Amino acid sequence: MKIGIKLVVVLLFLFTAGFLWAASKDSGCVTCHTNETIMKSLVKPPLDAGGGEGEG
Amino acid sequence: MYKGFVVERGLLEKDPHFGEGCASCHQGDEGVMDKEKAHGGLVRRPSNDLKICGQCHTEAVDTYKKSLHYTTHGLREGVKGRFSGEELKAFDGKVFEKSCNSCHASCGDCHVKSPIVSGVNLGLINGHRFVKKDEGKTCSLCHGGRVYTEFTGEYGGNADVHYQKGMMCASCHKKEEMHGDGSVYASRRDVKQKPACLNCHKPGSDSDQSKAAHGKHKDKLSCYACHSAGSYRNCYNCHLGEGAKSEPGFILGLNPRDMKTATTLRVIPTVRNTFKKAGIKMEKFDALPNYWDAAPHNIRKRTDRTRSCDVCHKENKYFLKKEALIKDGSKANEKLISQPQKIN
Repeated sequence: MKIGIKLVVVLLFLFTAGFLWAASKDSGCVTCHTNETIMKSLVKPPLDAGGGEGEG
Repeated sequence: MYKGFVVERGLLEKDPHFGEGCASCHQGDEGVMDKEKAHGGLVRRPSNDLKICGQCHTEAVDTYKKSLHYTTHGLREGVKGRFSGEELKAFDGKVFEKSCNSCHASCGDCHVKSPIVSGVNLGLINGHRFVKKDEGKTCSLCHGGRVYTEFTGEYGGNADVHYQKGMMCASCHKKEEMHGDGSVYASRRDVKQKPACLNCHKPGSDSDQSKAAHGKHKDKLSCYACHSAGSYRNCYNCHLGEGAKSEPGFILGLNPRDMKTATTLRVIPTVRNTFKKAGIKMEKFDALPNYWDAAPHNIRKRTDRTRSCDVCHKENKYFLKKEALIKDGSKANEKLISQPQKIN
């Protein structure tokens, strides 16, 4: 009986910790776009498009 | 360049715009880490749909959707006088919607992320903050072909005195002009809230020396005719899909919109076969001139014209002359030629 209660408590703890970890996990957008190092590796400058004189 | 796509983490908790998560505006897939998959279905410019910002900013969106920055109607109104009815329909379908109107500004183009012009992409204005203004990263991109570079002096010659005094675009072009007032204006010249020199430089505040000159030229000359510092960009020979060429120039002539007043004129690059690729000949090409009244943003108090009357009244230095008119230009151009009165 005591072993059973202990097992339930451990499982409950693991479940809660896992839930809290998942809730605090950043979205993919936030993980990349708030990290300069990641953005530096992902952003590729475009080829020179040339173009006209612009407006205005 | 990558720094333009970095969002400041601290904003995510403080700024209410981020309360619903990134995908609420940008779509895409927040749950994956692979760039291609995360960007699947991405909306890069969510405020292009005014309903997004209109959820909270109802008043601004209600007026903005009729403003010239959003509708770009000024571009259409400026050229439509050259078209027959059929040609105008063709222009609307083949040119205006696909080309001219693509230049319209979304809310984000001024308040979140610099607009992309000619491949130049500066990214976020300030870490995805929603800024009130930052002219160097917004106005300068779309209006950098002419007025902005004339204003800062980058085009050559002197910078505008207002820029030297620390003023930027929004010092004169206020929110009410940019967001609109709910009216549909045909041209920026008709906008009620447009800036005017006299808004700040009140009559009677000029020196005794300039009072005489101002009095003599009242209702005959625009402020620019004397106070534009010098050459500004003029564009020539525009063809659909190919752009135009430009040269500096300074031209005085009659204002095609107010033929009693002389002013600075800017060459408009529309030529007879500008829209040939779209099958539009411009049957009424000669109904409008190739020069429009210009507001060069390179103002100085003292110029060669304010220093000596001779520049105009003896030398006739800058006034449009028949031999200088654009080759094969509109027949309406000759009406803009004017010669100042000779004085001793």
